[in-house]
Amino acid sequence: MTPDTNQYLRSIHKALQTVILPELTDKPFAREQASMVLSSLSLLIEIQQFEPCYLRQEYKDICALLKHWAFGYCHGGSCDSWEDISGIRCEDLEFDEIQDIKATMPRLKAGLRALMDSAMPQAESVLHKMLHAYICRQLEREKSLLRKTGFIPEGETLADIGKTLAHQGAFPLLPRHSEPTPHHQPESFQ
Amino acid sequence: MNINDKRYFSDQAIAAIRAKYPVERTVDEALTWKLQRRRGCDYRLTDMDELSVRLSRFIADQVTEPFHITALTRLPGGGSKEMFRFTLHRQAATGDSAENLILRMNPGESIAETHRLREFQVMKAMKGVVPVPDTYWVDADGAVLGNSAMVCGFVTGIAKPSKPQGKSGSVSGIGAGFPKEQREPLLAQFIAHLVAIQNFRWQIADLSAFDVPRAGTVEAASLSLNQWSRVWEEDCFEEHPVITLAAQWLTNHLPIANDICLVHNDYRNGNFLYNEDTAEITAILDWELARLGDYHEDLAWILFQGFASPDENGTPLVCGLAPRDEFIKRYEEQSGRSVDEKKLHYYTVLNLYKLAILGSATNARAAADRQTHLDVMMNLSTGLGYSALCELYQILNAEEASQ
Repeated sequence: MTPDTNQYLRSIHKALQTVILPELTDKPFAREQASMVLSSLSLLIEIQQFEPCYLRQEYKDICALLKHWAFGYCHGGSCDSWEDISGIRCEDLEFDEIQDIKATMPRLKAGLRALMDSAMPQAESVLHKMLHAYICRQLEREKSLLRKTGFIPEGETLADIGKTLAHQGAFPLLPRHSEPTPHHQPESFQ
Repeated sequence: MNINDKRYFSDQAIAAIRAKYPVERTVDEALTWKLQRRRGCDYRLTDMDELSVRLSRFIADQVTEPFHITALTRLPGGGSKEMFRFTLHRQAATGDSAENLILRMNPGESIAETHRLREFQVMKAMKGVVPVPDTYWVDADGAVLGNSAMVCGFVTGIAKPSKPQGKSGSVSGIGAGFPKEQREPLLAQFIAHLVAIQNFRWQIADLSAFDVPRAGTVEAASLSLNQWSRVWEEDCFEEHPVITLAAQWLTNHLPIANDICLVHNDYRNGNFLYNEDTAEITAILDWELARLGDYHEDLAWILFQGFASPDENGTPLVCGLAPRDEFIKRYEEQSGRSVDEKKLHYYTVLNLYKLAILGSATNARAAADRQTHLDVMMNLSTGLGYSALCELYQILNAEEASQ
C-alpha cells in the first residue's frame, strides 16, 4: 500500500508549516503566499477525498429537480418545448460515469437557468418548493465544502462535507409536501 | 466553445457580450481588454529587473530633470493588484529630492477588473476633499509598463490595528475591528469623509472616464447591474440558481436615483489607513470601483454584515465602528440626507450580487486561466463569494415569503 493522497497532503502541510515558513521571516510576500498554501492544504486534506461523491450528489439533485420539472411539460404533451427551453436531452439525466457527470453538469445548470428565466414555477407550487429545497441543499454543500477557507461565517462549527454528503445521500431531494406517487413518479421523462 | 472554457472568447463572442450588457465606456474597455488578454499567454509574476527598466522608461516620459529609482520592492497584502514601493530621486536645479512612491499595476486578471484611468482621475479629484494618496502618473493601457498601472504617493498609516481585534481582518482588512478607545474618533472621520465624497461637486471635476447616469431614472442602478451581470457571464464556471434569482429580482426592482453622487464603491474597514497613535485617518484607499450613482450604494456596502466586527459584548459593529442604528442616525444627521430603506434594501441585494460574482466567479476564473500572481489566494477567497450567495438567498427568500 503506497501513501494515499491524504497522507501526501498532510506531509506537505507539515513540512511547509514546520520547516519552510519559519525560514521566510524576511520575505513578506513569500511568507504571505506560503501561509495561503498552508490554508489551502488544510482545506484539501478535508475535502479532496469527497470530490467524486460531491459531484454525484450534485448530479442526483439536479436530475431529480429537472425530471420533476420535465414531468409537468411532458404530462401536458410538450416534451419538445421543455427540451427547447432547457437545451437538456433525456439521456443527460441518466449518466453513471463520473467523467460524463462532470462534463454534463455545466449544461444542466445552464438548462436550469433557462427554465428559471422562461418558465419559473408559480409560487407555492410543488415544483417551486422543490426548486427552493434544491437551492438550500446546494448552498449547504457549498458551505460545508468551503468552511475552512476562513470566509464562511462560523465555518468551524459547520458539518464537514463528508457529513453533509452522507446526510443528503440518506435523504434525497423530493418534491416537498407531495411525495411522487407511482402514477407520476418522474423516474424518466421519456 | 465548451461552456466551462472561457479562456478563448472569439471576437464575435466578445461583440455579443458587449451588445448584451450596456455599461459605462471605460468599464466596457476594461472588461473587453480582460477578455482579449485572456486569450494570450499565462500571466507570470513580474520580473523585478524588467520592471525596473520599464519603470525608468515610464518616468523618463513624465519628468524633465535627471532622476533614478532605488529600493523597488514588491509589497505583500494586496488582494487584487500587484503593488510595489520605490524611491524616486530627482536632481532639480532647486535641489535634490527623494520621494517614496507606490506603483499599482494590473495583473492579467484580478478580483475586480477595473480601469486605471478611472481610479487615477477620481483620486486626483479627491485631493483636498478627503485624505488620499497623491496621484502622479497613469499608464492606462499599459503601453510602457506592460500592464495598466498608476503611480501614487506613499502614505503612512495602518489598515487594521497592530494588535488584532477578534478573528477577522486577515485578508484585505475585511471585518477588521478597532480598539474601543479608537472607535469614536475613527467613526466621526469615517462618516465625515463619506459625506464629503457624496457632497463633492463632480460636475466641475475632470472625470472624463466616467459616464453620468441621468438623475430621475433607473440608469444608475441598471449600469451597475449590467456590469456585474456581464462579469458573471464572462467569468462563471457554471450557472448558480441564486445568481439567477438575484438577477431577476434586481431587474424587476430597479430604483430611481434622484441625486447623482460620487460613490466610492468599496468604502469600508480595511480600505482606509490611520495613525494608530492619533487615530487620524491618513488616506482613503481603493478607488478603483468608484462611479457616479446613488449614495445608497455606498451605504449598503458599509452596512454589509461581512465587514462588521463585534464589540466586547458581541454586538456587531458596522465596519468595526458602531452599531447599525447609531451609524445610520449619525450619517443622517451629518449628511442631511435621509436613508430610504427601500433603496438601501435594493443596493444591499445588488452589493451581495457583486460580492457573490467577484468572489465565486472572478476569483476562481483568474486562477483557472492562470492570469493572476495570487492563484492560491484567488482559489481560497471563493469562500467569500459562497458566503455572499448564502446571504443573498436568505434575503431573497425572506422577501418572497413576505409577499
